[in-house]
Amino acid sequence: MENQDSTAPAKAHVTKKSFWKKIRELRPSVKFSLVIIIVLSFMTIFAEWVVPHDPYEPDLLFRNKPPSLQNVLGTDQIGRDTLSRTIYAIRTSVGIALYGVFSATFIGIMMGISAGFIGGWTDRIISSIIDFFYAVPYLLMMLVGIVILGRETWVLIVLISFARWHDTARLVRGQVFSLREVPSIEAAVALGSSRWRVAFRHILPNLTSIIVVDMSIKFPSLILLESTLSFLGVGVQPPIASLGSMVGAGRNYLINNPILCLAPALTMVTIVMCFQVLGDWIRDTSDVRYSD
Amino acid sequence: MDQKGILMDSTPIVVTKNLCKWHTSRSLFYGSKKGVVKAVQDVSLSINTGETLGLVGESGSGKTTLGRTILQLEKPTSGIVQFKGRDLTTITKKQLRALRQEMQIVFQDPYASLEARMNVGDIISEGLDIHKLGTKDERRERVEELLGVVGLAPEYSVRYPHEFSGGQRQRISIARALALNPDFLVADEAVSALDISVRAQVINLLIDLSKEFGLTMVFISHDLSVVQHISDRVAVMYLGRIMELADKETLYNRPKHPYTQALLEAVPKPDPSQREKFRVLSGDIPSPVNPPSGCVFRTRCPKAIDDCSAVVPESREIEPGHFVACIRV
Amino acid sequence: MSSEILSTHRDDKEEAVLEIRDLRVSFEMDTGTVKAVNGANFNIGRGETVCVVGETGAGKSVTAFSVMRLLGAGGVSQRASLDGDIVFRPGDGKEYHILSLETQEMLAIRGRHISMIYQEPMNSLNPVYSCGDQIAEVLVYHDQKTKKEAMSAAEEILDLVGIPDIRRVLKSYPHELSGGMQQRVMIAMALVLHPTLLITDEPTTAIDVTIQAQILNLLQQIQQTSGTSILFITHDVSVVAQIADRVVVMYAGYTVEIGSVYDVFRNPLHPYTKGLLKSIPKQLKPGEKPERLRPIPGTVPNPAALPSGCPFHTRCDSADERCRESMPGIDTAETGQTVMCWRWQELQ
Repeated sequence: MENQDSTAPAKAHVTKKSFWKKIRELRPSVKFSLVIIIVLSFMTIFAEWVVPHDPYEPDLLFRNKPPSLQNVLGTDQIGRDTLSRTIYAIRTSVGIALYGVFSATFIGIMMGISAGFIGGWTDRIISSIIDFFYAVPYLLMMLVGIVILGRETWVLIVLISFARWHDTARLVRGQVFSLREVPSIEAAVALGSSRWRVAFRHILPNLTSIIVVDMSIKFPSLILLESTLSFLGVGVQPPIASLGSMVGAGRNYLINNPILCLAPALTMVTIVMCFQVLGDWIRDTSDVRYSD
Repeated sequence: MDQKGILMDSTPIVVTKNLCKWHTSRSLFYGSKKGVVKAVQDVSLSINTGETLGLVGESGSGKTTLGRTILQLEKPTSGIVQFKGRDLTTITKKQLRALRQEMQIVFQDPYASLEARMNVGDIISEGLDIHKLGTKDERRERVEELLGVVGLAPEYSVRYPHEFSGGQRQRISIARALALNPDFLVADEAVSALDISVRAQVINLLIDLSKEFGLTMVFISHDLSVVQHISDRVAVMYLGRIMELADKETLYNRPKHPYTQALLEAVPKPDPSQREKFRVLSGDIPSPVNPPSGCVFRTRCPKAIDDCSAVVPESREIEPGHFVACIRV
Repeated sequence: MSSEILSTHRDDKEEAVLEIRDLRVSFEMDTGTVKAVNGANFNIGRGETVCVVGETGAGKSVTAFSVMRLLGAGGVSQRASLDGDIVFRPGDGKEYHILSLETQEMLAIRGRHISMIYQEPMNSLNPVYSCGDQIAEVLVYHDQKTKKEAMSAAEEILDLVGIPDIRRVLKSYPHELSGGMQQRVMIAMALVLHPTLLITDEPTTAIDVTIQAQILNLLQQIQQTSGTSILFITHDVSVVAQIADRVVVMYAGYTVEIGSVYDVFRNPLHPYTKGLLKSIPKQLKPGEKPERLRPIPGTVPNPAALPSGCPFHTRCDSADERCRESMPGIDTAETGQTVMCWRWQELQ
């Protein structure tokens, strides 16, 4: 048939670099961060098996001991092994931060899509709420919330859910506005698709790379948020350890047992930095890859 | 009989009455100055079943907006659009979505109109999925059938759009549009972004398909020679209004509206032995934000007189089937 | 039709203004080497308009950028490698081999002896300077004119390109002007120093038909009054017919056919040229029914993965074994047309 277009689709790739080669070609800082994060993940998932001692068991005879063969990082003010507590603290802080990331992202996506897609008054209202969250420092809001509702863990969790959703919402809303004009989206409308189908089957998949980058940026800031609150004493309550609460509790022993503060603090700094580096790398690679 | 040899049905499939589409634009450069872009002004026309109507014009003519407004991809500001007798401006959203199976569109940009993350098979069968037609197997068969109809190999259904060239992507877009068996198709500059040799392939394909499936087509383009090749009737638009509407033969050989005449003279002829200085229209196309009063073409019209600024010329039928909007004709 | 005879044999009489000899340009990309131009060979005579026509991937814009040395060392793209020779003679008796010039020497030529206008005037004019300033800049930089002298020269050139209301345009910013006016301003900027060679890269593609007619008239006027040679790049075959003296047809980085515009249109020798001419809808005479278009099957090859042998063989009806295996050389016909095809004679 004359109308046949039998030329095979053009494939311009020459050789696809193997996975391991790509890993080896990464910047040293990215490789380092990946390794750290993998090790830390392993430690937190398998915390129960990894810790040398029970992090909750006090031993009043061995308070504030310096590092020894028995307690690699020494003990804390009531004799608990610092290393074990630190490992559990990582789990707590990371857990809370992860939870916050996912829920904030979820809320942000819902609000962003509603604002961008429905437009009109919905958009105006949501945009005003977003502006409000930008204007008022969230830490302050959380403190007020905790004062009103109490220092329970559930309060912390609920409040963290709403941390930084506005970043995601604004990002998603902007993207929805620009994507609405794109012909592939319009084609779905022209085929008779309902608005929600277009939102979830067409717009959302186009947002994945941005959302992933956004999540990787959120994560370190949520760790810091939780740590700040715990440091101030209004976050997780003892005996649960979080990196922030350990630093807070260790404040009083800075001179005779500095490790109590240093261990969690350095851990926190390391985690945050590793995630920053990774987040940057994800952003760099996804920007370039998204080319057609 | 039209060029397809089909006895043209005299019942129009699409009728527009006093259709207007205006947008408010906020120009970023001038702060908050708002302008109303009068993209389509007072367009009334009927498109007959089975015909191919060419819609030509330059920038700001409103031809693309008209096509999209007919399909309700943009809501008309005022006026009526009737599709098979039903008023599209007053039906419910659900009814409109159902009707969309019968009217489809092929867009200009082959690169932006296919969802990059869906494979070709899913893209083409999306319409079937939306309207819940056919089982999985039936859909797969239909996709392969459609790929064959547009001249692509059936195995391409598992590939992704980025693996294809511009011309092939347009074929995929056409297959997608045909999946629901529409009766009406709008081709919005569907070949303008393609290379010349590929353009000819897709033009032939559209002609063949409209004959085979009895499609009524609106072919929007700024390229007069392509429109002459493919259309039965042609409407010439300028700044949102239809200046002249006639069958192809009449419009290209005996144009009566000064704009049509100027447009036809401005087209370069692909024959080096026919070289003469182009008789050009002076000046630029005015912005659709502030179209001239009265006849929108009067600022560049060689035949303009004072009266032209006073009243918007009505579209008069000067001979059967030949409509011209000009008081000097 | 005396111009027909002059055009074909021009390079015998006078030395050409521009000679492109076996130009090859490739780009090193992550995904492989893209061979954009693979052996372009053509000349441009004094005062002559040569149109380079081809589809996407033909290598026409890359050729133009090479003439301006915008690629490779000292240019815009660092990944390009250029081979071959480009000889430029501005008419003062000197000869420049563009690909081996020092950056300083090239800067003196670019903008003064060779200038260029681009496809989208809105994107090529600087939005933060007025049009008058931009035109004056050319004069101040190359000719060391004072601002005052430059402005009056700008006024003259704007008049020449047919702009009404010159004072207003001099003070306006590009976004305040229409597309057609912007294009004229760009042409003015390119012509203000009376260059020997003007390169135009798809100047009418993004403009409306009626405005295109104005610009083509302007270019025809420039052809007739000034002695400027024009290298006109386009994919629009009809525009070529109206404005060219000679035509260079490019495909996949090769110059597959070269000849006078009359010869190429009346008697195309290369199968690709023939195919191109058959792909465009003809202007119909009264009562004539449109004939079915005969498109060239298939698509333009990927410049990163060109086929073996003749680059056109995958789409050519008349390709045979030899075409698939080896690259044809360049033959010259009686009329002076050159063609790169094994079988052109049999297929005439």
